[in-house]
Amino acid sequence: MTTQNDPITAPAQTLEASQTIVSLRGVSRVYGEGETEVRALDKIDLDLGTGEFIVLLGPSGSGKTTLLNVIGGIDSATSGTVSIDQQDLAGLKPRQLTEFRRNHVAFIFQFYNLVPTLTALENVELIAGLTGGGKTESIEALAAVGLGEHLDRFPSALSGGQQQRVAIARALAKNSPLFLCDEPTGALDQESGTQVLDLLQQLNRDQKRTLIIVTHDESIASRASRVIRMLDGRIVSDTHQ
Amino acid sequence: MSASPVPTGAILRSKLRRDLRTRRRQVIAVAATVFIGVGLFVIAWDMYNNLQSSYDLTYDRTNFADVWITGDDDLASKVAALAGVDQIETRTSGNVPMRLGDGSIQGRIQGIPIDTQPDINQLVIDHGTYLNQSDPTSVLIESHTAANFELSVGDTIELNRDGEWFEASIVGIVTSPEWLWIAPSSQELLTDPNEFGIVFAAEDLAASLASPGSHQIVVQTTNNDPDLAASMVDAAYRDGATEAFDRAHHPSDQALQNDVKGFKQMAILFPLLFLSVAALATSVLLGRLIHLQRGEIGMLRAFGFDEGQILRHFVSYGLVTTLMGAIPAIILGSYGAGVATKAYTSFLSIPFSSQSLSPTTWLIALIFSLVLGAVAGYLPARAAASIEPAAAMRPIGPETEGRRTFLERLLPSSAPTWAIVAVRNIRRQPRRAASTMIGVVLALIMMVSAFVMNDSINSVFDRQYAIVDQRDLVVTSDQAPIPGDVLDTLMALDGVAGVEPYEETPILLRVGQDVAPQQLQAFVPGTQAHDFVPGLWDSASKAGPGPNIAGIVVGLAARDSLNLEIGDTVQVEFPALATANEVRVIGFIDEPIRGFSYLNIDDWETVTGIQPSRVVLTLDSADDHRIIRNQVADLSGVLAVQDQIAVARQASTLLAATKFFVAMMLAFAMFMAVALIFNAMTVSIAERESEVATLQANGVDRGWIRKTITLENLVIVLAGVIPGLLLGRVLGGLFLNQFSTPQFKFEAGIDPWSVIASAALVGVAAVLAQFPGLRSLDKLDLAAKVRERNV
Repeated sequence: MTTQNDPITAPAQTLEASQTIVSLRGVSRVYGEGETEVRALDKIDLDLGTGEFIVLLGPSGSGKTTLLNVIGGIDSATSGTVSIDQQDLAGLKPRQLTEFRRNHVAFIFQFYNLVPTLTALENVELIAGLTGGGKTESIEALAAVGLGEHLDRFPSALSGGQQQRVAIARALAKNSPLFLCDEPTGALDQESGTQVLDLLQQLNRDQKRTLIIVTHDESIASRASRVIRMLDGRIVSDTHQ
Repeated sequence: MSASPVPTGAILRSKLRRDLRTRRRQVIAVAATVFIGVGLFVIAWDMYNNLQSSYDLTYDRTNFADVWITGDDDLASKVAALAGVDQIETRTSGNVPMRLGDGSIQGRIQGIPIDTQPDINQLVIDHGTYLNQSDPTSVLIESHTAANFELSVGDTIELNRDGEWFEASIVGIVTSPEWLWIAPSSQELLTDPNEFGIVFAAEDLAASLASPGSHQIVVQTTNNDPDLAASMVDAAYRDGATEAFDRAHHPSDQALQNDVKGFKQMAILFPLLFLSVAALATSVLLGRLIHLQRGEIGMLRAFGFDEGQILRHFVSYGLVTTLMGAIPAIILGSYGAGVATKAYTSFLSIPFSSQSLSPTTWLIALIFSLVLGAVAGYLPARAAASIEPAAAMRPIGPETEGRRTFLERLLPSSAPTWAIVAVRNIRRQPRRAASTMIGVVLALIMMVSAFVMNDSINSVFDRQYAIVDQRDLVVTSDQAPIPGDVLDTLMALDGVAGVEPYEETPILLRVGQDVAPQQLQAFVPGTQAHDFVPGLWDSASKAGPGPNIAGIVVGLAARDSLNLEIGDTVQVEFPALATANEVRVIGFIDEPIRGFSYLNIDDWETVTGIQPSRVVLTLDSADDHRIIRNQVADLSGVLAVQDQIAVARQASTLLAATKFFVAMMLAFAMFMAVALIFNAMTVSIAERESEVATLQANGVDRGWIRKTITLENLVIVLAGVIPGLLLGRVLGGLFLNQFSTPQFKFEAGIDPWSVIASAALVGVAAVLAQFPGLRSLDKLDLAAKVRERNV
């Protein structure tokens, strides 16, 4: 049930600009135990505001994808608190967590994760429908990423860059305030990568979406308003630019 | 915001449709297994219902009696006064020497009213007309008898009255509800059809021909109440009946119901096995499909699809796949049941055949299919729904760490790389290997358990007529004892190995109120015509094997029903000889075909006071039996010759419906096994498309890939053969234990050739199933596959 007093299930549009949308306090994420224990995140404290364009930089294994997943509610912290719009994710039941993801976050993955047996439009519609979106929004989203002519194509008939743009349209049609992008250009050539980053930057600038991009590509950092560097599960620098 | 939100369900249905189309070969193979399972159920269950209703219809239309009582007119008056008697008739029913065509036999004559049908046990006129006043000595011939002796309307037969033969003309060929199965008595369910026949004559004529004591009372109870009928039987015995039985003990109905009951058990058990296998096959396929869609599932969960949505989506895969097989199976199964029923009732000459469509069967099959689909889909769907999004989106790597496996160590050091990779893959992808192996094991379970049923049922007749019962011909003389010159003539015939005095007759074993009908056979001590080895013998008096001393050897089933022990005395009644005597029990025996008790021939004379009028012939070769039989039948003084090969054939017919079902089951099992193997193999190959695309893109040649995959799959098939054979044998045995008839003792077993055939079929199917899968790998669009891998 959606109520105005429930920040988790409330429509995403209720979030105001300049608010702190993400707040992490003492967040650790540990995999395994004993000799096989891996501390992917180690006591992270972090506040992210709405409308920010944040780049998480760091080498492989530094914990940046884990941090993104914890913020997106698809992985859970072993300790510490993760608050999204002042709501602690740790206190949410699985169903509430699903609703949180449905209403507040949109993912863009390195390997796009499109459904291969659905067309570009159906891939977008499938996710748009979750938050009450319709065909119109889906077509508009695809048009906005420059794929208005490729609505009925299946993913295997699209280039990597086009597939990633379908993934962005999918996130866009969902109308979520928080975009979580895991190496969105990692599988693309330079030209396609640049187009995708332009698109994401435009979304951040024009629609004030909070954008968190995980990458190990230093060149992407220049586009961001804030660059957070990680190493061995810790934040080693946090620079506003 | 749009005024019309997108229904995600509709898009997921499109996904489902296209996913199934993408995996159409495997989906068709799974649907085929469901088709077979559901089809088998519908055919078997509808056929069982059709058979039962055909018998019911026949009995209803012909006013089949509920009770048969042998006794005089006084007894008829007493029975008529019993509560619950709806109709009662008296008639003659007794044995008479008769000559039918070329055969000279002891046949049964039954009296009927002239000009009008009896009220009870009415006859269906197949050819010709009913009896009429214009020719009171004409007769009607029962249809099986007419067929066996090649008699037609207008032919004449000869009947014996006080040693004199007279001719009677046949005016009609009829089917009687009492003679759907030709059995002279409940102790003689298996007879040589060429040694027995039934003739219907006007009551006056029948009474003048039959021996005294052939007066029979037939009764129909109110509403054909079986409890009422049973109580009438008890009352009739109390009032002095020499014989009385209800429908449940009527020889023909008893024989046919044994088959129908056995068929009913099979109609439930085996479809259940087939459907369980189909469910497992569906579940394994969905498990593999879901494994391949982990990334998509992770994405859906990440974007906010809840567990229920994912669960419903993947359960629907199971439901759709199942329905694809179930719906045509229900339609074709119903049609097949009608055809099979018609063939069966025609085979047994059941006059009224009922082949109704049964919405109840459809509903049961449909509900069962939906439950099967839901259950088959639930476990993998549950696993899919509980996938953590973050974990699901990590790339799928080898399921175990890399190291040399046990199998790998068995390879010679000079083994080619493709062979090493093939055996290493088995451990590298244990889930895939296990799925493939499950397919192999299930295929073998299906076939081997079907073979166990088939071979065990057939072995009953093989064991009885090839090992236990060594009689070839039983000759009845018109003199007792048989004159020495007749014995000499028989012994001198070419091909005759042995001639022994012999007797047989139906008896009733009685202990207090408990009665067990048996067929008594009397052999010389140490007979060559019967193998008595398996049994419990009175060791103190050195009995056995066989009735070598005075006393009776009783079947184990009769022992149990009468609670007998060795050394007990049992009352032996001889209804045909109108005599009875007390006899000591000297042994028990449990033979493949039950219902026999044994005396030695000397004791026979002591117990009955009658000298034997029969001999049993053993032949050098069964191939000569027909020639020798005809030679013996032509000898002077020979009244009848019973051919044991004909009896064995008749015995086999007694389980016609069951054997038909088992044969059908075996054919279906083979088809299903091929579908399962095809599925296991093609899924195993299809899962490697990306891997193969990468290898090919890197220049690995197709031959190397083909050899690797084929060897890997064949090693898995080999590993599945032994557990599949063992489990199939165990399961077949368990099913056989559920299938029991009082007439036959089944021992679970399987012919070595059946084992070889099962393993060979699986092996051939596995090899052949490689081709379509490997061919599809050859045709891979590498560029598209590499792009798809990134999806």
